[in-house]
Amino acid sequence: MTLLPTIPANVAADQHEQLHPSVVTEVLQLTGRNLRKITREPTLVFFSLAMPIIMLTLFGQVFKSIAQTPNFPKGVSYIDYLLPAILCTTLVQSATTSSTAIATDLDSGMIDRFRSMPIHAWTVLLARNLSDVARGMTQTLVMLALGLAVFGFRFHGSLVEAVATVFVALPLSFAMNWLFIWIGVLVKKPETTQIAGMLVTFPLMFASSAYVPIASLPGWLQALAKVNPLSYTVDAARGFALGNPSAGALGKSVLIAGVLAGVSIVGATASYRRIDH
Amino acid sequence: MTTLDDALVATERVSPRSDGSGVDGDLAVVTHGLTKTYGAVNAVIDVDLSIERGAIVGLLGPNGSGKTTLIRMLSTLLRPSSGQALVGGFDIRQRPADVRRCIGLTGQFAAVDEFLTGRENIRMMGRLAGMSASAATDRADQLLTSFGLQDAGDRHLSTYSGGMRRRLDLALSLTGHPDIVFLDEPTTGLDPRSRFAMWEVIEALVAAGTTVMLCTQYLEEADRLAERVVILDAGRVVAEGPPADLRRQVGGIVVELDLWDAAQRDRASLVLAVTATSPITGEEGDSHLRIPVVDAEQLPEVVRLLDGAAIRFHGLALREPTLDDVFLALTGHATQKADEDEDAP
Repeated sequence: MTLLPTIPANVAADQHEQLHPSVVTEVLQLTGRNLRKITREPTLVFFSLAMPIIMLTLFGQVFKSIAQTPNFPKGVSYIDYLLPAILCTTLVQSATTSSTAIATDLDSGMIDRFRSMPIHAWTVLLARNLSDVARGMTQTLVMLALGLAVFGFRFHGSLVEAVATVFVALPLSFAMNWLFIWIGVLVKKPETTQIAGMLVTFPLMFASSAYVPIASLPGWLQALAKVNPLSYTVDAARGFALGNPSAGALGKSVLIAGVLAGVSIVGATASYRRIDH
Repeated sequence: MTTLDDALVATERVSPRSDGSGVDGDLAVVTHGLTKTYGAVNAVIDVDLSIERGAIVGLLGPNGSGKTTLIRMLSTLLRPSSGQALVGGFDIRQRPADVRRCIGLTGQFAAVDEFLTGRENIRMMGRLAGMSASAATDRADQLLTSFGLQDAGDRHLSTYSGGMRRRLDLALSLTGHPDIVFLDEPTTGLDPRSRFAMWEVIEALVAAGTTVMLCTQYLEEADRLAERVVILDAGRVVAEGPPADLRRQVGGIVVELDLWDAAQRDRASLVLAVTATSPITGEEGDSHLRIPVVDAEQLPEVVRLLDGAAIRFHGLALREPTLDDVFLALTGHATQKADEDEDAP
């Protein structure tokens, strides 16, 4: 094979170095872009809050009588039991929009533009993750405020435990967002990612300790709920909210989130680099 | 469009390599045996190309001919199956990051951020290209003015027309002062006025010294803009050269014939086949026919043949062959009829 005449690359390369953004600039610019997109799409903000509010209202009423059953913790109202779980499921549901967002960028050619520019692959993905985790956390804070102001929720423990209730799901949110970024890069079609999101989140949410005590689920569902990472995060959040923290649940929740995040980061980055190869 | 010229001259001045220091007479793009296969499907086969710095080359071919695949390989989005390519002097496989620093890519669909304003879009690209915040702001002002978007700069993209989006898309590709710009069907789907505006922008870009590789399905576009044309068919280069040379290659002249009765089209083709130098073409169900003939002296013969067969016509004209005729003569099929498929993914 004939080799092509190579142009003295060092001349060009040296002059290029000065025109290179820092990774911090890349992440900030791309995260800022994603956040502006979120705030400028009012329907997205509306619907992403509507779902948890509907669940909080409906479940608060439908499952109220659960509080009288023998498996339910004594002296706890259902809303105090439910709200910490809603905070966690809100984050999980919110994470699904990461895959739709990344698939939309793939579909529109925006990712092609980024890939043809001298910026790092991982900063594009990290920016997606940071902006979507920030959005998820904002949603949970809105849900908490509503719970306190409208639904009669109250914390049973200390202030530190109250703060921990809100942030205990942060590692899972981070991990789930990475998982859905990976799914988005693999699936590539925005419409399909939405179905994929439902397929992953619905079993996670319902086969868990989120809405009723695991002991009151049918046997096969109990088995699922016990291996469901969301159950541990919900148990940890609920423990803090009820002033009865569980180190075991917290440990397992963080460990599972760490493993899930690790696998998803590697998978998402590898899939992103292989787009179109 | 003085403002446009100003902005693009600035491109040349700021750009580190356009002064030609140490790289005189260099090639901006050179490929050797470049090939991309998807399983058993050959998208691009054994393409050898060389594009001089500052040149504008048209890459012409129907959908599915491999134009987009070729552009995607050269802009490092797609890994070649085999072969070699240097873009801006850098190997696309060994040093993709360096390639990305000297190129701008405008894809088939305007890759602009829907939820940002035009100005925010350019500013973001400037920052991502390593400019300071104030330099990116200046660049945004400059490009918005050059591309006739100054009034729309602070509006959301939902208010932009298709032509404005394409212009912004091109502005984004030029934000980082690239030396080499790949344009993949930049005017597809635009109305004639927007297309014309886009052509002026591309001409100014080339006048300022930028190397442009222009993919197009429009022969008229390649004819007007490109100094040199590369024709792809089914992934292979089937012809290459200045548009005028390629037209000469086909030779002769084309008779444009309009029949009174579309039903006589097939009979007319049959009768005139003896004078034609290559296949007679026309749209199905239409009364229009194109007959390539040796020279103008064939005209009386055409009229005699039609008269003898009692075929009536209301229009008869002679014209120089276009690239469409070139394509037909080279590949045996017309550009539009080749196939309906998009380029391979």
